[in-house]
Amino acid sequence: MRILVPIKRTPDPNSLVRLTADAQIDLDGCKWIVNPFDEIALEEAVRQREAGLDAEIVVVSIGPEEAADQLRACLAMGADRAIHVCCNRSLEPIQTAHLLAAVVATEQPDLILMGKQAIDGDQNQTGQMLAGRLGWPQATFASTITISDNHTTAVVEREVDTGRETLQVRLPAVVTADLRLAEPRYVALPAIIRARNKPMANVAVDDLGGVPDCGVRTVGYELPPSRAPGVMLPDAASLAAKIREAVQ
Amino acid sequence: MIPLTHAEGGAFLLGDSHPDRVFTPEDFTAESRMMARTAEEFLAREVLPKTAQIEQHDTDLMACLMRQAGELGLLAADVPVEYGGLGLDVPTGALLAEKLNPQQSFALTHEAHSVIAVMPLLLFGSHEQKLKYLPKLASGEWLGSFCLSEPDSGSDALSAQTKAVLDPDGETYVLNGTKMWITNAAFADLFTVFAKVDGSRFTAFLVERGTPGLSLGPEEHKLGMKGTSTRRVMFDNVGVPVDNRLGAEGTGHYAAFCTLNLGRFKLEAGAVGGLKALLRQDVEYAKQRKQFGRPIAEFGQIQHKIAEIAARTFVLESAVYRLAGMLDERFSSIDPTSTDAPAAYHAAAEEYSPECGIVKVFGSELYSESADESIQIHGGYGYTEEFPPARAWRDQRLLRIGEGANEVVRLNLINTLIRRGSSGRIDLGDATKRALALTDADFAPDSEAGTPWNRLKTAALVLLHIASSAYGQRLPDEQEVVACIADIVIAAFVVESAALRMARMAARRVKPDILEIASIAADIVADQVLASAHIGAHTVMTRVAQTKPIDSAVQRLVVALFFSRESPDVIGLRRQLAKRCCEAGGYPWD
Repeated sequence: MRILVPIKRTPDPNSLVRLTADAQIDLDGCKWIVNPFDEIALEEAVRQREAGLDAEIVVVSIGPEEAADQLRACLAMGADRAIHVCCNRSLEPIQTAHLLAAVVATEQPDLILMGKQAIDGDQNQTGQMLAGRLGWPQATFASTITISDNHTTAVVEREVDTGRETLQVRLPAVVTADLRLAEPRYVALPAIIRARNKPMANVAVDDLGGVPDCGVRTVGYELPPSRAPGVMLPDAASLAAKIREAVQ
Repeated sequence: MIPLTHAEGGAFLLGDSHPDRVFTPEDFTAESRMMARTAEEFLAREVLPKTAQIEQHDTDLMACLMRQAGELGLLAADVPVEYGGLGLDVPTGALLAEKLNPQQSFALTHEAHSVIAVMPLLLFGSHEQKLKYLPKLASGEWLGSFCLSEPDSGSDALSAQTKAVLDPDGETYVLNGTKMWITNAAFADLFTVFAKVDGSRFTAFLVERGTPGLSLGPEEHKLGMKGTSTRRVMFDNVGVPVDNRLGAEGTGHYAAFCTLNLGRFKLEAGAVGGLKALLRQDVEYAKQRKQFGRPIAEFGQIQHKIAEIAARTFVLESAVYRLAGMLDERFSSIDPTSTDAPAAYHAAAEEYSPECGIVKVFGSELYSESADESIQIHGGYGYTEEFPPARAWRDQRLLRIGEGANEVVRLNLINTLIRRGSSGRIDLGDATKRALALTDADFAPDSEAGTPWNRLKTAALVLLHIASSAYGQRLPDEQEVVACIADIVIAAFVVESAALRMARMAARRVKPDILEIASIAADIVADQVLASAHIGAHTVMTRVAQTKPIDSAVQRLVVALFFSRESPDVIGLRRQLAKRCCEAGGYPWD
């Protein structure tokens, strides 16, 4: 079977991200990583294969030239080949889903395994929209995945507010990874060297039919207002007085 | 000063180096950074959480961590591919050392294995010896140990007493003696041992663990580095096959000194990482610790400390990776399997011994001062084991002693420069002549001679000239004079390294504010080393004048060197830099 793992290049949360004077997010000079949830999805795919699943693992990323670095990191983690859709503009989830659907048309994967959300926009929409567009079943926030021997179904345990829910989905399907699905491994140095020779294909956005308009326009960014400092009260009585004051 | 045509070790003193030839941390590929991340995560997830146990002298745990590191390829960086290693470039190997440093016991164990134990074999072993042992050492299946020091032989390594005698059958050497301060002794599978054949010909041998007659003393009770194994290794009629002799009889000192050169470089690459970790910790503490109603990070004296650690670490990092690039240029052209590999490696490892000594002294002393100031920033908490600076302070103290005491390294630095000058390897005479010809007018603002590093180079050349002409062959006896001059040479190299790095940063169009704080850091350090050099020059001239009067032209030149410059407002600069460190949560250039 073939597993497609879409990954996103996101800023390292430990980097200093600031707003510029004209209210744009300043990402210049920040460090970039593979979106951690996507990394978890890839780790799960690699583990499935290590546990005996006969699968080719293909990673795909839609991003600028530099996203090749993140794809190469995924090859080092164990993906077999990479597809780089070169795109320099920021996309809304519906646009990403549209482009990924075009990749799926060519690749014909049996399973799409991806992070439940990217840590930059925190939108949590792309996987769902992709499944919708493809007309495939979806199982989001997966914490375990079991693929049937004949590769026709997957049983996915997902974490929901009330506990755990178990779904069985027909393949092909879209499954999105939650935090506890798998802990990404240390990439051994020899694996990093082997990744040098794994194939990476470049695809232009136009070859996938271009980016459709989505009707969303970014007006501006601003920092959340800074919080007023708290007050230390000497005892419970003054706290009670404060509360009375506030509710009146 | 004239541009260099090719980079000889020590030749930086003679002219301007070109930024295009300089490796900087900004030059790392994504692949190298990925490898660094593996090292960083391994340290953070497997090593640092076990610090309490490591500090309890748990050497079994240490051996286990080393084997784990081996599985990830973290012991194989410098070993050629042909011998089961990864054959990485020198800068990437240095970056790995940097990332592993914050648990210093682990870092030292790692260095003692992968540099000083393995390098004698890697550089001077035969193809067969390398095939037999290097793959095991690169994978961590075997761990190594370097046995040079003895109870009565430390800095004077060649006075070693351990003896090797070739058995009459001609098949075996018999070793007798005691080695001291042997890192990794408890779990080493292979000992690289230096002994004198028939009491005279200094030679390196590979001795396998379990060889009859080899025994270990108890663990030493050390000030720091509590997690490393440090023991005596005793040889009582230990038979070593002739096949395990490294190189010819009487060539062991090359193996020892070349290895220690690389060890000095690698330890200070590590220091860069340790310093960054300290800075991160300092900034974090200073931001949350409030006194008089304000975070202490807002107070000038705390900002002073934070800025000094950051600025000098930037300069050290520039020097370390510049040297890494220089070493790589030499090492990468060597075919490890060829029969003349040992000669080529010897030449490469010896070439930059002055620069290796420079980063050793600058890095280890910076680490000491910074660990000390980190404790100060933490106040009473810094004096406890609850916070990292106490352990860092105890551990780093070794670096001024190990791999060559800084006193000896300073003497060797100047001695090597003089020797290379008189043998014609570097044209010290011509450079000195040009330095002596400089006048006040040459030090105008923005002039070439007026840059901090060229002032320092001129000062070093002029002082070396007057000291040599006053003392001649007796100069080495004037250790204090030599050490003063060494400090100025060291300052020249590191300050120039920062300037070269900034030129490359500018060419690569790094963010303007990153470049701006780099320039602030360079100004802070330059101001301070020029002030120290001024005092040093005065001390040297006063001393030399006791033996031989100093030419008035030289006196005028030295005055011009140190007075013809405008000092920046270092207090203002430090405040700015400290603020940036606080914003960045630590080292602002990573």
